[in-house]
Amino acid sequence: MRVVDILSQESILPQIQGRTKTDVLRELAQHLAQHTQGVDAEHLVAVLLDRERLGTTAIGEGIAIPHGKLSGLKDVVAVFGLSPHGVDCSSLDGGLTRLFFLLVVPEDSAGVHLKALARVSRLLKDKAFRERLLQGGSQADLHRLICEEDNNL
Amino acid sequence: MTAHLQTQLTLLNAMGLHARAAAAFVTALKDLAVEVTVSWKGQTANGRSVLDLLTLGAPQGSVLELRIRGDDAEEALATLTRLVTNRFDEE
Repeated sequence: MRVVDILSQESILPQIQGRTKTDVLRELAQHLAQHTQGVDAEHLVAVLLDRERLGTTAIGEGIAIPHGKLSGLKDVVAVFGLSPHGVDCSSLDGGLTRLFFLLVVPEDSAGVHLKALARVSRLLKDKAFRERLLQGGSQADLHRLICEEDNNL
Repeated sequence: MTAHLQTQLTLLNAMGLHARAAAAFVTALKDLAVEVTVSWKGQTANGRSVLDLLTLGAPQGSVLELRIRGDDAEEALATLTRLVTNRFDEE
Protein backbone atom coordinates (compact mmCIF):
# COMPACT_ATOMS: atom_id res chain seq x y z
CA MET A 1 0.00 0.00 0.00
CA ARG A 2 1.25 3.44 -0.90
CA VAL A 3 0.30 6.68 0.80
CA VAL A 4 -0.78 8.21 -2.51
CA ASP A 5 -3.31 5.38 -2.91
CA ILE A 6 -5.20 6.57 0.15
CA LEU A 7 -4.48 10.32 0.09
CA SER A 8 -5.66 12.52 -2.77
CA GLN A 9 -4.54 16.09 -3.31
CA GLU A 10 -7.98 17.31 -2.23
CA SER A 11 -7.60 15.42 1.05
CA ILE A 12 -4.84 17.74 2.21
CA LEU A 13 -5.50 20.59 4.64
CA PRO A 14 -2.52 22.98 4.41
CA GLN A 15 -3.71 25.12 7.33
CA ILE A 16 -5.62 23.53 10.17
CA GLN A 17 -7.54 26.20 12.08
CA GLY A 18 -8.41 24.29 15.27
CA ARG A 19 -6.53 25.05 18.47
CA THR A 20 -7.69 22.05 20.51
CA LYS A 21 -7.48 18.35 19.77
CA THR A 22 -11.27 18.01 19.51
CA ASP A 23 -11.53 20.96 17.11
CA VAL A 24 -8.77 19.53 14.93
CA LEU A 25 -10.39 16.08 14.85
CA ARG A 26 -13.69 17.70 13.83
CA GLU A 27 -11.97 19.66 11.08
CA LEU A 28 -10.19 16.57 9.73
CA ALA A 29 -13.38 14.48 9.91
CA GLN A 30 -15.46 17.14 8.12
CA HIS A 31 -12.86 17.37 5.39
CA LEU A 32 -12.79 13.60 4.97
CA ALA A 33 -16.60 13.41 4.88
CA GLN A 34 -16.72 16.06 2.14
CA HIS A 35 -14.49 13.94 -0.05
CA THR A 36 -15.72 10.45 0.81
CA GLN A 37 -19.15 9.12 -0.08
CA GLY A 38 -21.23 7.70 2.72
CA VAL A 39 -19.20 9.10 5.62
CA ASP A 40 -21.04 11.13 8.22
CA ALA A 41 -18.71 13.68 9.81
CA GLU A 42 -20.36 13.73 13.23
CA HIS A 43 -20.32 9.95 13.47
CA LEU A 44 -16.66 9.89 12.46
CA VAL A 45 -15.81 12.51 15.11
CA ALA A 46 -17.49 10.33 17.75
CA VAL A 47 -15.49 7.28 16.58
CA LEU A 48 -12.23 9.23 16.69
CA LEU A 49 -12.92 10.66 20.15
CA ASP A 50 -13.74 7.16 21.43
CA ARG A 51 -10.36 5.98 20.17
CA GLU A 52 -8.56 8.93 21.78
CA ARG A 53 -10.11 7.98 25.12
CA LEU A 54 -8.16 4.72 24.99
CA GLY A 55 -4.93 6.72 24.69
CA THR A 56 -3.67 9.61 22.62
CA THR A 57 -2.75 9.02 18.99
CA ALA A 58 -0.29 11.90 19.23
CA ILE A 59 2.75 9.63 19.09
CA GLY A 60 5.41 12.29 19.55
CA GLU A 61 7.82 14.06 17.22
CA GLY A 62 5.02 16.49 16.31
CA ILE A 63 2.89 13.77 14.75
CA ALA A 64 -0.61 12.51 15.43
CA ILE A 65 -2.23 9.61 13.58
CA PRO A 66 -5.86 9.73 14.72
CA HIS A 67 -7.72 6.74 13.35
CA GLY A 68 -10.93 4.80 13.48
CA LYS A 69 -12.97 2.09 11.85
CA LEU A 70 -16.18 2.72 9.94
CA SER A 71 -18.60 0.05 8.78
CA GLY A 72 -19.67 0.38 5.16
CA LEU A 73 -16.35 1.85 4.07
CA LYS A 74 -14.75 0.01 1.15
CA ASP A 75 -11.17 1.26 1.28
CA VAL A 76 -8.78 3.02 3.62
CA VAL A 77 -9.07 6.80 3.31
CA ALA A 78 -6.85 9.49 4.76
CA VAL A 79 -6.62 13.21 5.36
CA PHE A 80 -3.36 14.99 6.00
CA GLY A 81 -3.34 18.35 7.75
CA LEU A 82 -0.78 20.84 8.96
CA SER A 83 -1.27 23.00 12.02
CA PRO A 84 0.73 26.22 11.69
CA HIS A 85 0.87 26.79 15.46
CA GLY A 86 0.82 23.31 16.89
CA VAL A 87 -1.84 21.85 19.16
CA ASP A 88 -1.61 20.31 22.61
CA CYS A 89 -2.79 16.74 22.03
CA SER A 90 -1.27 15.24 25.20
CA SER A 91 1.40 13.71 23.02
CA LEU A 92 3.60 10.93 24.34
CA ASP A 93 6.70 13.16 24.31
CA GLY A 94 4.89 16.19 25.74
CA GLY A 95 5.42 18.33 22.63
CA LEU A 96 2.90 20.14 20.43
CA THR A 97 1.45 18.35 17.42
CA ARG A 98 1.64 19.92 13.97
CA LEU A 99 1.37 17.01 11.54
CA PHE A 100 -1.99 15.23 11.52
CA PHE A 101 -2.58 12.10 9.50
CA LEU A 102 -6.15 10.88 9.82
CA LEU A 103 -6.69 7.25 8.82
CA VAL A 104 -10.13 5.73 8.46
CA VAL A 105 -10.32 2.04 7.75
CA PRO A 106 -13.15 -0.42 7.03
CA GLU A 107 -14.31 -2.62 9.86
CA ASP A 108 -12.69 -6.07 10.23
CA SER A 109 -9.49 -4.96 8.57
CA ALA A 110 -6.70 -5.45 11.13
CA GLY A 111 -4.22 -6.31 8.36
CA VAL A 112 -5.00 -3.29 6.19
CA HIS A 113 -5.05 -1.05 9.24
CA LEU A 114 -1.52 -2.13 10.24
CA LYS A 115 -0.22 -1.74 6.69
CA ALA A 116 -1.63 1.77 6.42
CA LEU A 117 -0.15 2.74 9.80
CA ALA A 118 3.21 1.30 8.78
CA ARG A 119 3.29 3.13 5.46
CA VAL A 120 2.32 6.47 6.99
CA SER A 121 4.93 5.99 9.73
CA ARG A 122 7.61 5.22 7.16
CA LEU A 123 6.61 8.33 5.24
CA LEU A 124 6.94 10.54 8.32
CA LYS A 125 10.02 8.88 9.79
CA ASP A 126 12.61 11.13 8.17
CA LYS A 127 13.07 14.33 10.14
CA ALA A 128 14.29 16.35 7.16
CA PHE A 129 11.14 15.37 5.25
CA ARG A 130 8.95 16.39 8.19
CA GLU A 131 10.67 19.77 8.23
CA ARG A 132 9.98 20.24 4.53
CA LEU A 133 6.30 19.51 5.16
CA LEU A 134 6.25 21.96 8.05
CA GLN A 135 7.39 24.75 5.77
CA GLY A 136 3.91 24.46 4.31
CA GLY A 137 2.55 25.22 0.87
CA SER A 138 -0.53 24.65 -1.24
CA GLN A 139 -2.43 21.37 -1.48
CA ALA A 140 -0.54 20.70 -4.71
CA ASP A 141 2.86 21.52 -3.16
CA LEU A 142 2.28 19.24 -0.19
CA HIS A 143 0.85 16.46 -2.33
CA ARG A 144 3.89 16.62 -4.61
CA LEU A 145 6.26 16.42 -1.63
CA ILE A 146 4.38 13.43 -0.23
CA CYS A 147 4.34 11.65 -3.62
CA GLU A 148 8.08 12.09 -4.01
CA GLU A 149 8.84 10.74 -0.54
CA ASP A 150 6.32 7.92 -0.97
CA ASN A 151 8.04 6.86 -4.19
CA ASN A 152 11.38 6.63 -2.39
CA LEU A 153 10.08 4.31 0.33
CA MET B 1 26.31 -2.48 35.56
CA THR B 2 25.33 -2.29 31.91
CA ALA B 3 23.65 -5.46 30.80
CA HIS B 4 23.08 -6.65 27.29
CA LEU B 5 20.03 -8.86 26.90
CA GLN B 6 18.24 -10.47 24.02
CA THR B 7 14.90 -12.19 23.72
CA GLN B 8 12.18 -13.22 21.30
CA LEU B 9 8.57 -12.31 21.92
CA THR B 10 5.53 -13.42 19.92
CA LEU B 11 2.70 -10.94 19.36
CA LEU B 12 -0.42 -12.66 20.68
CA ASN B 13 -2.97 -9.85 20.51
CA ALA B 14 -5.28 -9.78 17.48
CA MET B 15 -4.25 -6.28 16.38
CA GLY B 16 -0.49 -6.91 16.39
CA LEU B 17 1.84 -3.98 16.94
CA HIS B 18 -0.75 -1.28 16.21
CA ALA B 19 -0.67 2.26 17.59
CA ARG B 20 -1.99 1.60 21.09
CA ALA B 21 0.25 -1.42 21.60
CA ALA B 22 3.29 0.50 20.36
CA ALA B 23 2.44 3.37 22.70
CA ALA B 24 2.15 0.94 25.64
CA PHE B 25 5.54 -0.53 24.70
CA VAL B 26 7.23 2.89 24.67
CA THR B 27 5.45 4.04 27.83
CA ALA B 28 6.59 0.92 29.70
CA LEU B 29 10.19 1.99 29.08
CA LYS B 30 9.65 5.61 30.10
CA ASP B 31 11.59 5.61 33.37
CA LEU B 32 14.14 2.96 32.47
CA ALA B 33 17.73 3.59 31.44
CA VAL B 34 17.86 1.30 28.42
CA GLU B 35 18.24 1.24 24.69
CA VAL B 36 15.90 -1.20 23.00
CA THR B 37 15.78 -2.33 19.40
CA VAL B 38 12.99 -4.43 17.94
CA SER B 39 13.67 -6.42 14.80
CA TRP B 40 11.20 -8.23 12.60
CA LYS B 41 11.51 -9.47 9.02
CA GLY B 42 14.83 -7.77 8.45
CA GLN B 43 13.68 -4.37 9.70
CA THR B 44 14.86 -2.86 12.97
CA ALA B 45 13.08 -0.17 14.97
CA ASN B 46 13.96 1.89 18.02
CA GLY B 47 11.86 0.47 20.86
CA ARG B 48 11.54 3.91 22.43
CA SER B 49 9.81 5.50 19.43
CA VAL B 50 6.17 4.79 18.59
CA LEU B 51 6.71 6.12 15.06
CA ASP B 52 9.60 3.71 14.57
CA LEU B 53 7.74 0.71 16.01
CA LEU B 54 4.77 1.38 13.74
CA THR B 55 6.98 1.26 10.65
CA LEU B 56 7.38 -2.49 11.29
CA GLY B 57 3.67 -3.18 10.69
CA ALA B 58 4.04 -6.44 12.64
CA PRO B 59 0.77 -8.43 12.79
CA GLN B 60 -0.47 -11.05 15.28
CA GLY B 61 1.86 -14.05 15.38
CA SER B 62 5.01 -12.07 14.53
CA VAL B 63 8.10 -13.12 16.47
CA LEU B 64 9.92 -9.95 17.52
CA GLU B 65 13.62 -10.03 18.27
CA LEU B 66 14.45 -7.64 21.12
CA ARG B 67 17.88 -6.35 22.06
CA ILE B 68 18.03 -4.47 25.34
CA ARG B 69 21.03 -2.64 26.66
CA GLY B 70 21.57 -0.45 29.70
CA ASP B 71 21.52 -0.30 33.48
CA ASP B 72 17.83 -1.25 33.66
CA ALA B 73 17.98 -3.96 31.00
CA GLU B 74 16.72 -6.74 33.27
CA GLU B 75 13.74 -4.75 34.47
CA ALA B 76 12.96 -3.68 30.89
CA LEU B 77 13.10 -7.29 29.72
CA ALA B 78 10.71 -8.41 32.45
CA THR B 79 8.32 -5.50 31.84
CA LEU B 80 8.19 -5.91 28.07
CA THR B 81 7.81 -9.69 28.31
CA ARG B 82 4.86 -9.24 30.65
CA LEU B 83 3.29 -6.60 28.40
CA VAL B 84 3.54 -8.62 25.21
CA THR B 85 2.56 -11.98 26.71
CA ASN B 86 -0.43 -10.28 28.38
CA ARG B 87 -1.56 -9.16 24.89
CA PHE B 88 -1.01 -5.52 25.86
CA ASP B 89 -4.06 -5.98 28.12
CA GLU B 90 -6.27 -6.02 25.02
CA GLU B 91 -9.30 -8.27 24.36
